Amino acid sequence: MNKTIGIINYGVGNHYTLKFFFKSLGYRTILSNRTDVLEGVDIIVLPGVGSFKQAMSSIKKNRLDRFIKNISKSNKCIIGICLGAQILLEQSFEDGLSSGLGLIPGKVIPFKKNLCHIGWNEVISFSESEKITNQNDFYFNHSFFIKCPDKYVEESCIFKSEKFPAIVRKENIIGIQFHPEKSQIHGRELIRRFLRNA
Amino acid sequence: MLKKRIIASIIVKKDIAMQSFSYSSYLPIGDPVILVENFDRWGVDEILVHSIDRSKDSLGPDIKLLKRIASMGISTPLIYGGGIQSVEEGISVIHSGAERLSLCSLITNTEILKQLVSKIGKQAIILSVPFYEKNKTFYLYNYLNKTLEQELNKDFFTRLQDYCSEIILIDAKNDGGLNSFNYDICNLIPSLSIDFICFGGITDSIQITRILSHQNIQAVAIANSLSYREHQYQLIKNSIKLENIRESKYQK
Repeated sequence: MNKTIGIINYGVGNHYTLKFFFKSLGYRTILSNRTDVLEGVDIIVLPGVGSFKQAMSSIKKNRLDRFIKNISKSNKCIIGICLGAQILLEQSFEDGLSSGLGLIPGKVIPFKKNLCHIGWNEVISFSESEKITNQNDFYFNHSFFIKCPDKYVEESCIFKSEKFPAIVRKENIIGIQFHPEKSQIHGRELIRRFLRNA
Repeated sequence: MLKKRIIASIIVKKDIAMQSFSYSSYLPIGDPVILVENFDRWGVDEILVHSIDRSKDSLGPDIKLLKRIASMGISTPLIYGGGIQSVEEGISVIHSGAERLSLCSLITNTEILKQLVSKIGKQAIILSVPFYEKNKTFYLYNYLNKTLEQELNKDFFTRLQDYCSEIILIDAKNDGGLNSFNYDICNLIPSLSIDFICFGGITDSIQITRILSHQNIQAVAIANSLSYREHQYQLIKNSIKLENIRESKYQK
């Protein structure tokens, strides 16, 4: 039986896109901001699009922060996409300083000169031992990026000579800075692989 | 390397995808959802759906259309424009399946733009600037009442940079024409923290190569010409002589 994916609804994400994306891959999805509804799912997804402060405010308001932290201690997989990846970190400087979930050590900072990184860019493996993305192009849409210790960085990307993490991972917690759900064939392959191993 | 994009655009009027000519005459193509499905299968860089009658008739954004598109499970980035007049409507568009908003009638409403930036982030906002050239001067064009408004200059664009990630320049006069986009507007583009997209009368690969060679232009948008010929998107991409263009692969 296929696994059930719980998409956290924190009010500002692209829920509808993700719901049908996972459905097209053969997974059941539940979209909710209620811990009792999300409790039974196999995989948690934190969606992208939105601002860090708004997302964290909604997560705290619905007491989802404690719920997600508890899930992280189990063997269930948590996947954060774009903004969802950023809120896995300890803090962000978007719209003032705010605390994140702190599941992966590090912070979220702006690109120099307030640049936005929009479009298709190559993702490169951080280590030679495991190549997840095979230097393919993936779709990015962000103006802040993750800065964390190298040991959590699985893949990276370069924009205007700034090298930043494209995929971060700490055990069962995965943060993807780009949008795999909008990266066509390569995005589907990547997510299939993560979900298969989740 | 960040790739320059070729955006496949769909103009929607009264629920039907249209070929537009200077925003004054239209020819029906068909169901916009079918076009989106085709563009997704062709592996285009991005899709722009622009519902041009939603603001005029105060209908709000076309959420029903967005949900129909999202329910197909497309995996191509989607921009939506049309009818968005408030922060709540902007958020509902993101919820319903678009990654980014294209805003036109709000470009002078800095209060709403500021709130939108705070809610959804400036990376999700594109400001749409229709322009019209008259006597070698460029004006902001109001396509709803067909009037010329303020003169466009570098300061105009500079003022917008805090509220968006990209500005789309729409050549209203040459919209729908062959190879007719007025490149002179590009001389007004200042060096900012944001990038520009060109749209209107863009059809062939030589013209696209020239436009995309401009360092501040990150994308072009094409509409009508994609409906004229089979595999037109791939043909255009394959004949562009730039190294920072993504190879588009057909998706099953």
